[in-house]
Amino acid sequence: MSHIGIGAMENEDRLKLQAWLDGELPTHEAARVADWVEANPSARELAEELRAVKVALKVGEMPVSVEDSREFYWSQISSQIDMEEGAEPVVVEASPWMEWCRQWLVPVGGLAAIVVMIATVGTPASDPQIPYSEGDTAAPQEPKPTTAPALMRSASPAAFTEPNGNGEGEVPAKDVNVLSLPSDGNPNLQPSLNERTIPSIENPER
Amino acid sequence: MPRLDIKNASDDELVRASQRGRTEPYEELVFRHRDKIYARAFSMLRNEDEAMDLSQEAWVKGWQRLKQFKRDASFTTWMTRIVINLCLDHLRKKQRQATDSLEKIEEDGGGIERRMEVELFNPTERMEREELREQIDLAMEKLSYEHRTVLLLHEFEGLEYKEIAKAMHCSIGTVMSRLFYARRRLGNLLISLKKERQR
Repeated sequence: MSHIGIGAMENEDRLKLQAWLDGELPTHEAARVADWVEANPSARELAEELRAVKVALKVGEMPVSVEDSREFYWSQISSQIDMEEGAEPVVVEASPWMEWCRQWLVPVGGLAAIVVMIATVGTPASDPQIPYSEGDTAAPQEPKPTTAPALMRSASPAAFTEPNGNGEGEVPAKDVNVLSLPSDGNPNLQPSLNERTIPSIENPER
Repeated sequence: MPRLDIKNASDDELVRASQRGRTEPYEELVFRHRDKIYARAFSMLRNEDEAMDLSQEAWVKGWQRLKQFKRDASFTTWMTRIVINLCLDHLRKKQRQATDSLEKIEEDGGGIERRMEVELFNPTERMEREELREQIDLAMEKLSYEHRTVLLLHEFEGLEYKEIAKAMHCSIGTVMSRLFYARRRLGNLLISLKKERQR
């Protein structure tokens, strides 16, 4: 450390001076720097300038605040928390039985399917196609599509009519109970089934 | 266990209750300290929208890591560290996208602060507290984020050089030279602003 102006002052000396002001130097070195500052006018001036800035910053920062209402601000945070917690992948522990199935049944099943395929496709003569004619009872039947309206019509032909758009012919909701199950004449069966399959709104956990 | 009076509970009581998974005490903590966390984000980023986003992100992270909080520092100190880290990550990403600031180039290229004359009069003399705060705020805005951040962390958060170096992923030497530059630049800016006002 020498008696020179700040422009020519070594970078190390300037930083050491600053560290001394910030209380970052060990005691013995701090004493040495204090002596140097005392004896060197340039160092003293620089120390004064740095100290003035430090003191100025003591007034603190400009106060700023969140303008959103408490509810709105929290709703944004809580929805983000919910979203991130929901996005975490759910790790399902496989049971030992499932693990066993995956390890053995799947490859064995696959192998069996390949063997069956080779046996059937690879030997066409063993499975001759049997021609059939119209009226032949052995002919394969085209499966008839079964639709929900057809089922309902057959279940209650008098009750079901197509809605015509202006309310005429529309059936009251109570008359089209697609959830009702046949009770087979047993008065105890239907209520218990309904109770089990349709949870009540009042108690959704049932 | 007695029912917690959330409005009158201490931060520590609220933290304990939140650590058991209750959100109402955490909401109270957010309400009590949201201004401080937002203010720190704003002072680092100088942008209201970004500060709002990152301060809210800090609260989300705080909730997720709450079980790791050992209460060896105050809750606000812990939350402030979270928001500072988020802001630093954000600023680093932005910095990578932008070209280096002129200030940084000057600093890296040999130190413009060496050419600055030492100011012999106090830049903040005879200034009212509010006026001084305004002037500092204006001057801070003119600093690059690296210089502003070292000043904030050292002067307002009371962090030591080594703590700043760790937070900013740089050496202690870099922290020292950034701090030196930031102080000298801030002093010069305050004098310029003062002269402008006196004209």
